[in-house]
Amino acid sequence: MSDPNIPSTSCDAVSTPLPPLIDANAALGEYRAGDIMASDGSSVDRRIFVDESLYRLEQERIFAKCWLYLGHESALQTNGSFITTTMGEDPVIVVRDKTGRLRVYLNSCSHRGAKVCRVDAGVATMFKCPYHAWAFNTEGELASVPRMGSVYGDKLDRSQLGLREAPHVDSFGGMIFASWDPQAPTLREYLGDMTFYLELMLNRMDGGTELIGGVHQWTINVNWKIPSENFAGDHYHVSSTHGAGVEMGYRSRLSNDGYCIQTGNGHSIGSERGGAQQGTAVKTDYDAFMAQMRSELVAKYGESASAFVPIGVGTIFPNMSFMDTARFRTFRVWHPRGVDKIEVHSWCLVDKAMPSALKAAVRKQYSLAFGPGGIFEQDDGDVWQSVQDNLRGHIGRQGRFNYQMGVGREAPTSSRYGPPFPGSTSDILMTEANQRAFYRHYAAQMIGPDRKP
Amino acid sequence: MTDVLNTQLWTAVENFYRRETLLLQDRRYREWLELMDEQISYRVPVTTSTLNGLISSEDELGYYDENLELLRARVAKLESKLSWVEQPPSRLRYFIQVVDIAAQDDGLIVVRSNLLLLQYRWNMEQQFSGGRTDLLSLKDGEHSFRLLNRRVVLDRQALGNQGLSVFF
Repeated sequence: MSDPNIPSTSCDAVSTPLPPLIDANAALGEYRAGDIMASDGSSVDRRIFVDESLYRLEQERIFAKCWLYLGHESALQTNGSFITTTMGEDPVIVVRDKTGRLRVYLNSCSHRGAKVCRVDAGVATMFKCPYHAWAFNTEGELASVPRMGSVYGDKLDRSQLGLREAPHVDSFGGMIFASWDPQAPTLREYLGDMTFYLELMLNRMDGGTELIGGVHQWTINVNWKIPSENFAGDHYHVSSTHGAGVEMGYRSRLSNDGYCIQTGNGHSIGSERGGAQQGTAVKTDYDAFMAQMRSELVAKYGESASAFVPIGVGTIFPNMSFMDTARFRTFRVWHPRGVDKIEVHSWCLVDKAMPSALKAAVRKQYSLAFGPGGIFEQDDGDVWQSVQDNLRGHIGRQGRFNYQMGVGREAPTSSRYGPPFPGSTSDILMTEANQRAFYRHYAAQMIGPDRKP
Repeated sequence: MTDVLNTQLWTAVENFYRRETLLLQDRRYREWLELMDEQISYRVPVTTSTLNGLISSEDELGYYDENLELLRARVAKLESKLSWVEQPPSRLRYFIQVVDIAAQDDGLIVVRSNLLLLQYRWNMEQQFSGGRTDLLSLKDGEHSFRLLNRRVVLDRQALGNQGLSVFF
C-alpha cells in the first residue's frame, strides 16, 4: 500500500485541475480521513461502500449539494408536462410550469408528507395529495385546501405551505440538472471543463440530440460508487468481465491505446482509440456515420482530434454516467437506494438529424449490449452484486481496495492532444487515474469541520 | 371463435409451446432459435407508469428489441464460458397459461397467454410475470409453427436484480 502522506503525481496543478490531495487529519464523518483513504486516492477503505453513517453523510453532503441529473428536455416539451425521479433518495417532480420554466419540487405534501404524484410522467395543472386533498399547482403553490374556512378559519397561511422547491435548476445540451444547495455554483461552473467533452458528445450534428423514448429501469445490490467509478475509468475490467462479448465479436479486444481524462470536480471520461464496442458482429450504418463525424472534428481541431469521436465512457460526479461508443450513446443515473442498493435509470440518445432507420438500428444495438438484459451490462451487475455481498461480514469490510494502476502518468491533456483538449490524461488507457480523482473529489465533499474523528 | 374449437389447431399450438418451454428451461437456445421465422420480431418493451396505467410503445426502448440476427448474437454470448451472468447456470421454470388462440384470415395464428417465470441463480432468485402475444405461422410443407412475432409486456416496471439473462 502506498504511503498516504506522499503525493504520487507530478502533475502541474494549474494546467491539470486534479482534485486536492486528501488531508489525512481531516474529519470524514466519524473517521480520520487518512484512516480510510490514501491522500492521493490510490487506496480506499472497504467501509466507505458499506458504512451506514457515511451513507447518511453522503445524502447530506453530496446528494443534497451537488448538481444532479434529472431528465432530458425532450421529455418535457409542453407547459404542465412532468416527470418524476429522485435526487439521491429524495423523490422529486420535474415540471414545466405555466410560463414554460422548468421547476423541481420535493414530491411530498407540505401537510403530512405523502407523495403528491405517483406516476412516472404525464401532463398536469395540479398535483393533488391523496391523503387530505391539498392541491399544488405547477408553480408549487398550495392552491387549494378542502374546507379551508371551516376547519382553519383564517389561521392557515397558504403562501408558506408550497411544495419544497430546489433553488437551482438548469440544463446543458438538453440535459436537466438541479441542486438543493442555495450556495451552489452555476451548472456550467460545476461541470467545468467537462462541458467541452459533453459538447462533443451532444452537439456532433446540427440540431443536437434527442432521447429515444422509454427508460430502462432495474436494481443492483451494490453501493452507488462502484458503478460511478467503473464508468469514470475502469477500462481494465473489459477483457475479463466482458470476455463473452469479445469472444462473440460484438467488440474487439481492448487495446491500451487511448486516454483517461479527468477534468476536475470528480468528472471523468476515457476511451480507447475508435471507441468502445468496435467489433465485427451485428453491424449497422453507424460506422459510416461516425467516420463522417470524425472527419468533421479533424477538420476543426486537427488530426489528433480523431481520437475524440466517439468521446468515450465517463462519469459526471456523483452518480451520472454516460457512454458514447462506436455503436450507440447511452447515459444513466445510479440512484442510491440505501448503502447497498441502486436503482439504475438508463436512456439511449441519438442525433435529431439521423435518419429514422438508423435511429431504430442504434436503439436495438444499445439494448442488445446495455440495459439490464444487455450482453455487456448483464455481467457488470452480476459481478458488482458479489462485491457488495462480500462487504457484509466483519472480516470482509476490513482493508482497502487498491487504485494504484498508472500512478504518476498523468499530464495535461493538451500536451498530448493539443490546446483545445482540457483536463489531465494518462498516456495509456488502462489506468486508475480517474478513480483516484473521483475519490479525491469525494473526500473533498465529505470532509467537514463539524464532526471530530 | 366458438367454444367448439378446431381441436387440431389447439393441439398443434399446445405442442409448439410445450416444445418451446422445454427448450427454454433447459437453456437449449440453439434449438430454440430454430423455432423462429427469418422475419422474427421479438420485443419486450419498457413500460411507463401513467395515470392510465402502464403503457408501452413500439418506437421506444425495449428490454429486448430483437430480430433474428440479434437473437443469434445473444445466444452466442450466453454460450461463452465467460458469460458470468450464467456461471453457474440458472434454474428456470416456465409456466405458460390461459392460452387464447385466434386464427386470422391471412392464415397466421394469434396466441395470447400469461407467462410466469421463476429463476434461481447462484446469487439471487426472482420471478417475472407478464402477458405474451405471439404470431405463429405455418409454412407450406412444414409440420410445425414458426414464431413470427412476440410481444411480452411485463407487469413489473423496474426489472429484477443484477441483470436479465433469460428469454420470455
